[in-house]
Amino acid sequence: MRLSQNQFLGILCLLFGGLLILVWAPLDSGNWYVVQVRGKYSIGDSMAPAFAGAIFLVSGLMMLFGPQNDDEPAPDRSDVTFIFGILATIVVGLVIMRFGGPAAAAVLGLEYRPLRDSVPWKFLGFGLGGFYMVATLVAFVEGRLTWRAMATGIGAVLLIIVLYDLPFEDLLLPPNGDV
Amino acid sequence: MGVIDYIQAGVLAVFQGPQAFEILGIPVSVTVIMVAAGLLVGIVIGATPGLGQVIGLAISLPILISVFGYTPDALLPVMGFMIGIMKGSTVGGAVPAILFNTPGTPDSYMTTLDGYPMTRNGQAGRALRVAHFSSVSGDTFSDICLFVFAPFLAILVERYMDLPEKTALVILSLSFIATVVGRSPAKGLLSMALGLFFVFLGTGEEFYPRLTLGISLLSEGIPTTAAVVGVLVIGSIFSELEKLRRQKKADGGIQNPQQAGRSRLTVPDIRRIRPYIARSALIGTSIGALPGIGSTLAATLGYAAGAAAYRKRKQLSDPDFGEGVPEGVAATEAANSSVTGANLIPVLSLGIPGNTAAVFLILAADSIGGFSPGPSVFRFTQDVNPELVIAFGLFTTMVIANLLNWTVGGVFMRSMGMMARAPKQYLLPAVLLLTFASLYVQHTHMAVIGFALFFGVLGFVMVRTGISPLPFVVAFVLGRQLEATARQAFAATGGDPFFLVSSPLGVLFISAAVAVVVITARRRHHSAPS
Repeated sequence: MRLSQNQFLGILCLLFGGLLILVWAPLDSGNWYVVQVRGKYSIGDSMAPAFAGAIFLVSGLMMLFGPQNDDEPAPDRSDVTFIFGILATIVVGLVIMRFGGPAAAAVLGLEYRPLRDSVPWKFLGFGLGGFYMVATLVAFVEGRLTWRAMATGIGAVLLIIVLYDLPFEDLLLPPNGDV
Repeated sequence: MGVIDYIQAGVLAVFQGPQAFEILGIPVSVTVIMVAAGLLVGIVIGATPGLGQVIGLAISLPILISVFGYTPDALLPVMGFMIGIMKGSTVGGAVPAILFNTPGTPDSYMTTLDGYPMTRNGQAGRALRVAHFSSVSGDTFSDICLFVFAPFLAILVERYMDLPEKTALVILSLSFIATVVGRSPAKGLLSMALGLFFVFLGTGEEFYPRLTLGISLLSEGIPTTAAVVGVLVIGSIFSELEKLRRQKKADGGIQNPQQAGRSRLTVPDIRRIRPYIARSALIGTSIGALPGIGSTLAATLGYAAGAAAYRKRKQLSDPDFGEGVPEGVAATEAANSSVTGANLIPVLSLGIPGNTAAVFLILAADSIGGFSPGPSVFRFTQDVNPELVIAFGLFTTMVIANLLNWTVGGVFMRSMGMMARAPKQYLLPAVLLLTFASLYVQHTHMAVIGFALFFGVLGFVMVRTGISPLPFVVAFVLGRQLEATARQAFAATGGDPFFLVSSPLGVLFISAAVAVVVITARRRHHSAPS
């Protein structure tokens, strides 16, 4: 028997809901569904996740035994390629953003932390990572890297610096709150 | 203090609050300026395809809080700006729909059906004026209903509901939103279950952080803004980028629409469209008052009702709905705009966000403090109830936004044609970076970007599998409140396991929660193709 996308999703919901109610919630919470403290009963920390688990079960049963449409939207191979591509681009951009400034400071034999509130250091990681992220995402969608994509990257970074950093002394652009 | 005193205090809180500047010796309050700025920003956002009020609210919230801080004085300027964005984006959404056949917001899709044919017939200016007039009329009507019904409903809730009934009411609201939003009640429930599951991670009353599998990053729970912005904003950006990439692969290029001609709106035009506006405003307001039913359904029903009435009246030589008639634009715009004010009825009277914009109002109120939207706000006490003053202040900001919308909104809206030409493939990555930056400045931790990215992927997967993100967001926002109310209700009833159905009202709410799932599932079952 071949399962429809809905039925497959329904089985996943049933398994996850069952696991949540019977194993995960009671074993990975501070106490059980109901607890007795000084002779009085009160709701324990496992109850709320178990309630979520019960809704997973209801949803799973409805998907498993409900009407099956052939036109249900479903992710295809192109979606998977897209999401992995876009995630890779963003993660690389975030890594550049996080470590770009400290790495540049280390190359010059400096410590980044005392420099993180001074220009150009405070913009270095955000500028490099943000530019990379925006330009590469535009190139990813258009299928080629263009001057307009790179100009968009530079424009976006400058706009955000103007919006958040110049008017507000107490706002920190990434990654300056972490380093 | 009496009702009139509170209304007066609310109005004065807006006009006599912190002053921005003086014009001819008359002080202009910061709140009024912020409402005007929010309205104009909202129109720009609505007029830009790919953006929308949710992105606008998500990006502006941290900036607003940085500017105004965490004092009670910040509430009205911040929330006034957000209300301006809500109203402006609804009006602005019609611009690209009419000029370029590209809906700026999902609910303006129906506007394209008659708006774009009017543009092709050289009546773009007339179509824009019809859209503006109808939109602001519907919005004004909806706001009046909000002012009348929200306090009334809140007083009823406070008078007749105790903790068990309030818990049952939250369950009913979640069940209603989950089942009526989107194409499948089962998937709506899945969305809600996911929202509840994630909000319960790392939280709880005990010191032990639950469901974290020992991962310390999760021990303080997931930041609400990261989850909400991730699923709604980042998920929809991914979805739009994926569509553009497909379009590029299929056609070899990305289509960006071209400009068209203009003309004027006349008094006979207004007479023609008036009944369509009135009908749609009623439909939109009724739908908006129900949590979770969005403006898209209101626009569809308003358009369908308008089309039925038009068919009865029209001459043989007149064009049909869908061929470029102003009545079609009016029916749609009045319906989707009249949802805006009514959507705030559940949040102000019950504390239950009926739409995504209301979620951001709750986030703003939570971040700043001093105002908790819900039935307890409308307590007309003899001593000053500051929350009630803020509530009437909010109503005042809505009136100001409407007045501005009637006067300068139309002119500004018609000048926004250029925004519709902004290519999405350049705009969306820049908005993504802006969203990450706005999350970071609130939390100053790279982990929050990681959370938002995770929820962005989840939002994308939900969209691609036909699961509406709205039940997720509402469940995430209400989850902790649901747990806290249930704990208190259980304790207050002496540990009664049937506390939810211990009163007739509780029985009614829980029965309705089950019935809405069963009835909706059966309806969809019968209407599903074999």
